[in-house]
Amino acid sequence: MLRTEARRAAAPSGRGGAAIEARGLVMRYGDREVLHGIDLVVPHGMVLGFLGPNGAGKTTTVEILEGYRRRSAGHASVLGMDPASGGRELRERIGIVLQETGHNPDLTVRETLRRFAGYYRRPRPVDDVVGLVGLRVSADRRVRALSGGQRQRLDVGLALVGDPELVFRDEPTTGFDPAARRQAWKVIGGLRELGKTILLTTHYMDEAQALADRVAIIQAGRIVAEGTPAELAAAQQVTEVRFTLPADAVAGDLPRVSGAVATRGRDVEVATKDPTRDLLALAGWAANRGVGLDGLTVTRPSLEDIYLNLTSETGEAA
Amino acid sequence: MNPLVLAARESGNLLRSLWRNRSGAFFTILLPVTFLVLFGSINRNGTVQLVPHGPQISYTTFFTPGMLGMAIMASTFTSLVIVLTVMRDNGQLKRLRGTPLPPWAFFTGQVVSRLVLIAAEAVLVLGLGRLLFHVSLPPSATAWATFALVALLGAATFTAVGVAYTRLVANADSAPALTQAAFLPLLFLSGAWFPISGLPHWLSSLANAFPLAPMLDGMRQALIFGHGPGAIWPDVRNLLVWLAVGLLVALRTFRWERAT
Repeated sequence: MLRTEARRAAAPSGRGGAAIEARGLVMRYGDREVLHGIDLVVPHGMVLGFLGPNGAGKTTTVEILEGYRRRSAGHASVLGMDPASGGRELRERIGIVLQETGHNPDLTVRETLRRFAGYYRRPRPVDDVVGLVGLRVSADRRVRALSGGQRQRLDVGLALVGDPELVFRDEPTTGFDPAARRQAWKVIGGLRELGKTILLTTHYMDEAQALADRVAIIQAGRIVAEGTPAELAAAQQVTEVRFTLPADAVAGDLPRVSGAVATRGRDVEVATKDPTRDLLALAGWAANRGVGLDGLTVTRPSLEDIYLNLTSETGEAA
Repeated sequence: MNPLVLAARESGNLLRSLWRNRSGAFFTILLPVTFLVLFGSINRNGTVQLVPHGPQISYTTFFTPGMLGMAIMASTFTSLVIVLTVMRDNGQLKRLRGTPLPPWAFFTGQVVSRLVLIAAEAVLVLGLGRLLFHVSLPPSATAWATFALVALLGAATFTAVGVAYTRLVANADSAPALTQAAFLPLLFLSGAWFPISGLPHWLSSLANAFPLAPMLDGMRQALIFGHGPGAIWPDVRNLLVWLAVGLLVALRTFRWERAT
């Protein structure tokens, strides 16, 4: 958190408004409405994790903001421009990393980056980009000879070579092995350090948790939750306290707690929104009796649980 | 960045990658040359008539521009359709669309790099024809200019038609078959190999409705008879119509992303 605050303070200021501001985005294909009014605000310098299952409207939303698609209704502003008409001016200032994109296989890494650098008015030096994405040793190899992971890093490099203020990163690690995943996370971590605003699309809650300052979850064309990972966890869920009833006690002996108590045999489970006070009551009770709370565990449901919960509930409702 | 510089750099990069993957250029460069040497040698002393009861001209003089025409169509229409559909399928076009590179600079890069290839091909084909078969060359500067104009206009037309044609190609896998299906029949129908003066009227009308036969005729009129642009106006008119229609369709229907 501290790191985030420091970084945000260092991010370029003095530009009015957020990097991305969408209000009531609606998208219709014929009679079918796939986005029902999306609100999304990403301040400058923030990493927003945008989550949702396939078909929820994630890609459509992002492609409207990238300028690939025209919204049916609503307001959208990206770096102060309307993405539908921002054209070349907007593309000078954003970088887009798409999933699985081909390359000209017969150019080298450096040549490919230099080619794309030529498209921008103020590119970042190619050698800089090569280092940023960890391709220094492969810089003079042809793209044909690169591994899958190296090509993905080149994809990122191509999005960075224009020195964009805002980076769209679509599913950075889908299909990656754990090592490649760590490497991809490292690259995004590097972008954060540079103070870039990043809209990160992902299927994985742990990825959003590791990389994003805030998370927005989309389900069936609506944003169903938005906040920091901690806020999401706090807003959505209760903490579970579990222990085994001491040998000489029965369930009726337990002190009053704020959470709901459930017993199964001698196992007790307290689901509480105020774990500190309830734990104090339970621990005090046990200490007074001179016994311990065997098998005591305090668990918060993972964000993954929260995410699955959110997306499956609304999924059934839709 | 000056867009003209961008387009020039694009074509430089394309030529560089083409040079590094030379086997890919086989169809466009070597096949017409191979055919020229082969069929020219077989029919070395043969003569043909461009039009019924017209003057007899040597087969090799007739055949040489035919092979150049084949190379022009192969390197604009055929190769462009395949390259663009591959780039559309694997996301390269979509990525380019997300950069500040203006679309016309991208297409100019594609066209210019192909024109460089065609120019090299023209030197090769005409040079070999001259060297091996004493093929006649345009007799005057005007005839040379007319020859070059028709070749250039033909290249532009097949480029526009190629870009428009990509809309009919569902995916890159079907691109080679779908381009050959148009290319090969048109090649024979349009008189790249044999004069079409003997064709029944309806078939020669059909041939002349497409742009390849007029391009070949225009090049031959300039090369063999030294005609200027005025004499080949019907050929030029046909090419201009196809160019305009191709451009219009291309602008209205071209897709930067694969169909979902």
